[in-house]
Amino acid sequence: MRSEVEQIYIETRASVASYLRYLGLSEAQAQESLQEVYLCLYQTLLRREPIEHIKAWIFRVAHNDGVKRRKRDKTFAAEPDWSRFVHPSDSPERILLDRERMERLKQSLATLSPQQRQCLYLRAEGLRYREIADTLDIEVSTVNEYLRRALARLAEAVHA
Amino acid sequence: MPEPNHIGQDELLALVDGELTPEHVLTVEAHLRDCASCRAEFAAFLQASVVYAQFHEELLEPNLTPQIWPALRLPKSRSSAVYGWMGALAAVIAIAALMFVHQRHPQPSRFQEILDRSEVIPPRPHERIQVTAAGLTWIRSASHNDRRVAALFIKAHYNWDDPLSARSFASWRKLLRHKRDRLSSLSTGDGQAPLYVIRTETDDSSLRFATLTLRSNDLAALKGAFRFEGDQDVELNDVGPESPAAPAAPSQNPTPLRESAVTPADELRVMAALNEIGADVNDPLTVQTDATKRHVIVTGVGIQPSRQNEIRRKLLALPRTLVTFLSHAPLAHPPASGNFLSTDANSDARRFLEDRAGGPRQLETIAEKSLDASTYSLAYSHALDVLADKFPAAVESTLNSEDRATLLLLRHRHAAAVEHNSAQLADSLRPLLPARPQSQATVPQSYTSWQAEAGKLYEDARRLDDTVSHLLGGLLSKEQTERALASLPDAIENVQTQARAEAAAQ
Repeated sequence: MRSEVEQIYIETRASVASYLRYLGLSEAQAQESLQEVYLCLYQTLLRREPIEHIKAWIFRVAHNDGVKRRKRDKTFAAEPDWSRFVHPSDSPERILLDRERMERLKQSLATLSPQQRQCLYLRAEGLRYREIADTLDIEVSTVNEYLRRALARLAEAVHA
Repeated sequence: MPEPNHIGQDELLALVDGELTPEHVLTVEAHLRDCASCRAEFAAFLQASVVYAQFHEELLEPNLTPQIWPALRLPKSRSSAVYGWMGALAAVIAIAALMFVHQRHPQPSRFQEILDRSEVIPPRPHERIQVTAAGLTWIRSASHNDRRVAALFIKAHYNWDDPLSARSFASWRKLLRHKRDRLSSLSTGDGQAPLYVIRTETDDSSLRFATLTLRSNDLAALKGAFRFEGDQDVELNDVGPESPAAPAAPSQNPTPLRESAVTPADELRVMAALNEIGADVNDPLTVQTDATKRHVIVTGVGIQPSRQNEIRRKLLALPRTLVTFLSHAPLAHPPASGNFLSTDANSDARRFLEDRAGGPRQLETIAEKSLDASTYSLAYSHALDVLADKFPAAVESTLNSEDRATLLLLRHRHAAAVEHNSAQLADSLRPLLPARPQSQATVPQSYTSWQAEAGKLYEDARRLDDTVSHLLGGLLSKEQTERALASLPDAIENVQTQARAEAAAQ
């Protein structure tokens, strides 16, 4: 069981840590939170409680833990300033995604609500609507609505 | 005839995300076939999703992922463990074991002969035994879990002091009035001694069946699988002495089974075994050594149960290999129906490609074949890159000549598959590509090492696949399409040349 959890940790930690940092945690806080999340996974598996989709389960626990930590320490920014993130080397082959389109996407993202952005994030991580709803503790229909509005706006921006 | 009732944005998005029921998908798709405006909206959602996914993958994640990873701290004590017996893992292993037991040697005399011979092998006092029960694994006598397992063996009159031995197996068996015996042999396929599997089933004991795996050259018991009443499964594995310094009893054929740490060679053998059933490239599997270097861990995600059994069966004979399957739901990829998506922005591009292909149907066929070839080329170059990652020159030099030959074989197979599939890709795309003079095969300027080249090849195959899928996915404007087509012949040839060099490299 330990090695199984260690294996899952190795496979999923990058996406979970990124999400925790996306929530606004510092790198150190995200690491602490990670330990907590996988310890919880280990204990749950030991109790032989069923987990349907491990990755979704981990994101839900990580989200709750991350939000708790953020509340405890008010110095956290709400979200890292991703609008300043730089693109790693632009290759000439990247014909689809020109810089300009990426800029438009970023500007458009900035106009969305944090929850809409979280839905987009979790969706890009491969979570189903049901799982996103569980993670953020909202209704499935709300997830659909957030995503619909968000993507309609993004589509407008990237299509322009 | 335009449909009066258009599809709502929420449904279009749900279609993109694979969140609709199959019946609903059919109605929405039927509408999309007839309605250009809904189709355009659908394509816009899809395009926005692709751009966002790229933003997620290329900007967010690299900027947010920590650079260092502390080890996971999990508590040592297992006091909170709850014993719901018959762990799924143990059960599947038992089933896989069951399926593997062919009746190749049905004669009871042969069974008896092997049992008699192995019974007189002197016990090996200092071996450590790994116990797996109820989905938990521990090293014997290091855990209170032992007591529960011991109780099962004692109740069945099976010697728990020496459970992994033919002697104990035989004395338990002698007590049984009604029993069914089976003997089968397993070839390990890696040049090591074959294994005998002896198995006795009964209704006379609380131990319903016991299976012992013996190495044929010295009849050492390596593995035991036991099923007790109430479907309680226990698996025992010989994990060798604690320290590699302690020399084992002299054996003419020393094998890695006696070492305390698994080596890259063990990993390689697992990969070679997976390659034999095509599981290294076509199944989402990872092969890793655990942090304590005790096992090669093979993890599969979202693999069909029947395929899981095949994989387990293939790996059964390999020492110290743990196989785990996780039931992740598949990622929500956009549905792959109809390759080319038409929007107002790219209808020019589509017409342009259809003209070159000779019609819409021909374009669809070209797209299907090309996307397949490109995906395979990418998958095999990835497999090659994984090998390069696991076996850098320093590790490669520690392999013995046989293992090195295995590594070379795997590399060559992967490289040849990349070459073959990129040739297919060039072939299937030919009607679309601009005419160009047949260029002579270029020699790669500077070949450093196969490992470094594998990384480059994977990078290039990935870029090529990117271009091909954007081109044929209808995501490019006409101008971009023309540019992509002009760049493709060189890009394909580049991948092909590199693959050819890798397939010839020593």
